[in-house]
Amino acid sequence: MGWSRLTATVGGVILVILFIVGIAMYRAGGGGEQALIPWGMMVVGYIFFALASGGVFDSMAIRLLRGDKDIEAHAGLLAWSSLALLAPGIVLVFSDVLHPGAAPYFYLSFNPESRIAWNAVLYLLYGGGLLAFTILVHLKGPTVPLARSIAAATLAFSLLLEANLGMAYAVNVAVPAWYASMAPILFIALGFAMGSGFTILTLRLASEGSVIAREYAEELRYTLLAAAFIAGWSLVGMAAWGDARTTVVEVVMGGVAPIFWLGFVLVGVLAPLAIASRRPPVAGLLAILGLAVYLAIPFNYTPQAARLKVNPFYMLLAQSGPVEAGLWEYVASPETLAFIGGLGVWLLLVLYRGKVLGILGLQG
Amino acid sequence: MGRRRVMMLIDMNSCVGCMACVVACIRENIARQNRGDVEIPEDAVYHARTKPEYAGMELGLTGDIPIFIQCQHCDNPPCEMVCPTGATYIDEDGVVALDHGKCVGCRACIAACPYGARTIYRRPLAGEPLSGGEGFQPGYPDKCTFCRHRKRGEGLWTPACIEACAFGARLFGYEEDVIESSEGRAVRLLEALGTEPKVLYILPVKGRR
Repeated sequence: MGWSRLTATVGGVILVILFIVGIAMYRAGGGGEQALIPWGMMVVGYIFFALASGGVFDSMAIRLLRGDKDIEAHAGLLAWSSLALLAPGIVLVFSDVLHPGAAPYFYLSFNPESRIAWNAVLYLLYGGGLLAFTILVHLKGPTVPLARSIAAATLAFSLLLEANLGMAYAVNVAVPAWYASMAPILFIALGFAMGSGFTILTLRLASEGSVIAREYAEELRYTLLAAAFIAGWSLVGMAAWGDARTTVVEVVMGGVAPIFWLGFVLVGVLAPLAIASRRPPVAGLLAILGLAVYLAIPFNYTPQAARLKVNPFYMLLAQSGPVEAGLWEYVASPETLAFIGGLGVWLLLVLYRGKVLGILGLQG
Repeated sequence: MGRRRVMMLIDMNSCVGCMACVVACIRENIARQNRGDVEIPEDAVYHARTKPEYAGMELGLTGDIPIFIQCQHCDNPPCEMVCPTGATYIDEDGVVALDHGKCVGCRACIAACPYGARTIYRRPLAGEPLSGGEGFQPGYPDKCTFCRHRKRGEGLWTPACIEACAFGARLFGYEEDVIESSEGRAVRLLEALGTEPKVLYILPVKGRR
């Protein structure tokens, strides 16, 4: 075992411990004031992992369906990586909901108006398709007709899931900066950008595909630009609309501004754009970090916090609330540990893919 | 002809801010509905299903008049629309209700409510909350039910807050009767959102005190 592999393993184990501890603390009653900030870091976590998983798969599947020969040798690895990203996301979904035992009602008492109900269906379709594709690729290879058919269907489910996750925000009439926003298309763009980053890191961890990693580095630049453009466009649109303007002011020049400009714009977009061609893994890592920061704070937290300033009922509720609903309380929570720790699950599953596949009897 | 739907009117000119309705709500929904077996949390007023807040300038009212934050039992409830499991639903009387057995705890209803009407208690609650009922239970997005657990057979029932109000500031009845009683003076909150609340308010005449 080389030094870097050993380091990655130790890092992965530590992250997995954080993942377990964070979930346990949250389940024991930890977490923020959920009447004021209902969706915390755990929600961000499962969206992040779903988008990242979808992004890795989408890009690979598109290349495969277009007949790109270079991707065929890496299809199994990338499908596995995509699955390894989805796994902690699904664990976070069932850890975040307070009564997971009621989950069968997602299907038994399906509410077609609810985007979250559709998420439950799409998670199942996407996860099932991804699992079937991964197994088939490892047993038969990526070019058999059935694998291509499953890849096409799973690609559709993946894109629908990404957009639908965004719609769960965009239908929310009570949070001004979410309502009617471009979250669905933004989430697809974020998925592709994060997917490029994770693909580069996956190839590096598995010491595979230096040529294709360079192609992904180029793709990272385009997808990052697209995500940043849509995020910026959303902010400009919201700035002109009454109560949503408070969120924009907070993000661009208020308390969240340093996080937005340094964490997202500089670290997440400009730095990866500048170094993507020379140092793809570093660019990928920075992009993932910056996009996670954007998703967690300017996108998820700030509109909920801004509602406490612009909606008189929430303003009054916040004043009488027993717990603060500030940024620090939001970030310094067991949910954050669980979110960050989820990366350890992905890391270990990618590092020890061969062993796990061997145990599962899928080692081709 | 469909079933008659219920509605509540709160006349803020008659409200003296005595909080009897809030105390009655806590006693009914946290204590009695749990057979008196739970210890009432320290921040019980925050978790009351009708809670007074001094709206002051935000709602264009005089500062000493409380507005009561509570479920508005909307005809077009955003919380019902987003609920993935059908746990939040409108019953045959028009009450927006929560089926605890179906609630998965995703908190989408809390995020979707423009009235701040739902709170959630995440800490351990001393005692034994009664599962399966409509009382206050930790980990669920709690809200006003118009005390529909008091309904016996057909016809109207009396919510605890109505029973407790000595000044006649609250009226509960069938929709058409309540609207008639309001004499055209009542307003719905955040009407522009199209939620069509079934709690009406008669706003106070400024400076009446």
